[in-house]
Amino acid sequence: METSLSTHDVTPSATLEAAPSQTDLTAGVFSQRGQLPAVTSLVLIAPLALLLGWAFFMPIAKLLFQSISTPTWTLEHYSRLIHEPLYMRIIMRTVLISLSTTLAALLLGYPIAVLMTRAKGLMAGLVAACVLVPLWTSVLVRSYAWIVLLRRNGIINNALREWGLIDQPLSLLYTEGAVLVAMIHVLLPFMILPIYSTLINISPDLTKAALNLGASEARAFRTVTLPLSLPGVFAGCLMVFVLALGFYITPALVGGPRTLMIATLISQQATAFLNWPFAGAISLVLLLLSLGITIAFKRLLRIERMVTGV
Amino acid sequence: MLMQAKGSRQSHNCGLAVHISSISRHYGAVCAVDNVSLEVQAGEFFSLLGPSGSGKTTLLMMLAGFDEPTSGRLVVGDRDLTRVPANKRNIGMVFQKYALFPHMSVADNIAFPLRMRGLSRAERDERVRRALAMVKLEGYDSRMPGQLSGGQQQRIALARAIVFNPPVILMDEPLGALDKKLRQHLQLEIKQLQERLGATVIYVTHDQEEALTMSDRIAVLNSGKVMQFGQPSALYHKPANAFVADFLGEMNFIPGEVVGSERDECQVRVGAAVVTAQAPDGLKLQTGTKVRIAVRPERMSILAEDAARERTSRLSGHVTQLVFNGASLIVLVELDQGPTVRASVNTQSKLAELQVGEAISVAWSARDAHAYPEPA
Repeated sequence: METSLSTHDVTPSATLEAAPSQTDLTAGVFSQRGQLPAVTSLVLIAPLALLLGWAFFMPIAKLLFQSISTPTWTLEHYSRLIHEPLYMRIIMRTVLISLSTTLAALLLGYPIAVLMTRAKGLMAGLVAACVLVPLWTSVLVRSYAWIVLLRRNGIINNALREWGLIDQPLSLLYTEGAVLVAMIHVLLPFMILPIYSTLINISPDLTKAALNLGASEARAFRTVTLPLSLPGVFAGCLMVFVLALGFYITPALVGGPRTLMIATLISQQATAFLNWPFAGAISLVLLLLSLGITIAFKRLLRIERMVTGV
Repeated sequence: MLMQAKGSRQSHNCGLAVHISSISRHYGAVCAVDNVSLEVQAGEFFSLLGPSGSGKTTLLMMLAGFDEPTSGRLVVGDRDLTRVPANKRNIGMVFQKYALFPHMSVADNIAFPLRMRGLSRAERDERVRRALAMVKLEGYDSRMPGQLSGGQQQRIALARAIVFNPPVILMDEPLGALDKKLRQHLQLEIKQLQERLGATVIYVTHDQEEALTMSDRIAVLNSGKVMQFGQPSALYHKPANAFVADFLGEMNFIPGEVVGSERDECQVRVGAAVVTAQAPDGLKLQTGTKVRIAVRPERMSILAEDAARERTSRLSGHVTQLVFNGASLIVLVELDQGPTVRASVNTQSKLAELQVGEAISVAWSARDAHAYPEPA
């Protein structure tokens, strides 16, 4: 009797439960916080997660695992990296070039971002085109363009000789300078765009208010516009620095063997010397450098946010 | 007379007169401000009232120095400011969207103009404290603007605009972003603050009620021109033209034709009836001129059909709708001549028992009606 009653009870209650859960689902989809229910979220991110896991994280994990497990459990690849001055020099050079690239991109990019917010009409279109067209052009094309410009009988050397400024062609290509110039050129849009997007969102009323309250144009910029654009500056610097650290094509093309950078070194070890474990060890160092810098920047940004309360 | 009253109330009057002489601003072929001349007296609360696109904001921007007039002169006190850059004008300004610096605390925001003027730290702190007290936000020094409500932010903006004792304060629809209740509250507060400071305030708004409530004088602008300026009551009771009559408050318009005039009064034929109205100042209305007669709903009385036949300005019609709005009863009357007019009557009177469809008459005394010539 009791069991029959309970089974009788279960069926309607189950159908009753199904109905509210249905409404819960729709309520969840349209909830104020814009959060999706867990299952829906998982289904939505699954394809990307699978692809990334299979084609990105797994090979990296395998590479990194090789670096400590080949031929047996060992740290010899890492000790080689640390003890051979050549490799430390390459790492230092990479960090230095990345830092210089970031700094130069900031100094060149900030004024351009400001110009983009102030330009009107034809000028605005022109400036935007100058920033965006290079971004849409392949890195390979841009790097080869630098080769055409910088090589021994390239455009620059020819022009200088024609004007009688030099007798012998200068060796411009395959120098650190060439790498730096080409990298700045390639990475500049990544600095300009985040800065531009913060600048364009600063209300022009704020500058007007500062002027009205007695600030000169320069002081209004220093006390209002500049501090409010810092989040964009940090985002741009982070982006450029991290991209520069692992930059491969441009340094490989316009830099010679004397200006080897980490990414080129990794590819050399993996493809030329087939020393996969050592390539893995260098990769880990690059990964840690990038992560460390990113986290440090995030910290800085959070402190900045705390101070500004934005 | 008004100014004398103000003077006695305010002992440390620090306001300066503002002389706007023949100022124009053209953008290409577009004329945003068209030869505007206004004399704003020291310590006066002066409103620039007009619909959007009337040039009131452009005029204010030129006063602040963010825009340069194409021609004309701007003098504050005895200083010609026409070509003086914005940061050298020493004029306070309150923006519609507050324009507080989001990365600075309330205290730093208010201290900003003092820092620009090189005041010492101690002096700054003291003045910031006093300014915060004036806008009733003591103890908010260390808050960030983002943590405050709209009304509080606008008070901080107000404190920042008055802290350096500017002789003239410009306000660009400062209450436009706030809800109605808060707006009415702040209207009174701003007005009281202005009277205490004695500063000249030039206040831009498109809200005619706000302008009527707060201002000593109002200039009504339309398409870049001053349509009329004067005290709120003068503008309300004696509008100089149909635009002002229509823009300020509620107004009934009845079309008609002038059949005769003597002194400042004229007889206007509406259908078969003839009514009396005042001609605008200094305007002689010729017989035959097409006009619109303007009468305020609260000046329009309702009479039983057979009552007061001796009243000259009387038009008959019937009630089409009754709207109770608390303080008064709005009666919509369709006149026999065609147009529908609104009359507002006291809910306590026996007229409150009117029925829809009832035949009645509307009437007014000649001094409450104005005739404006129809544009040709």
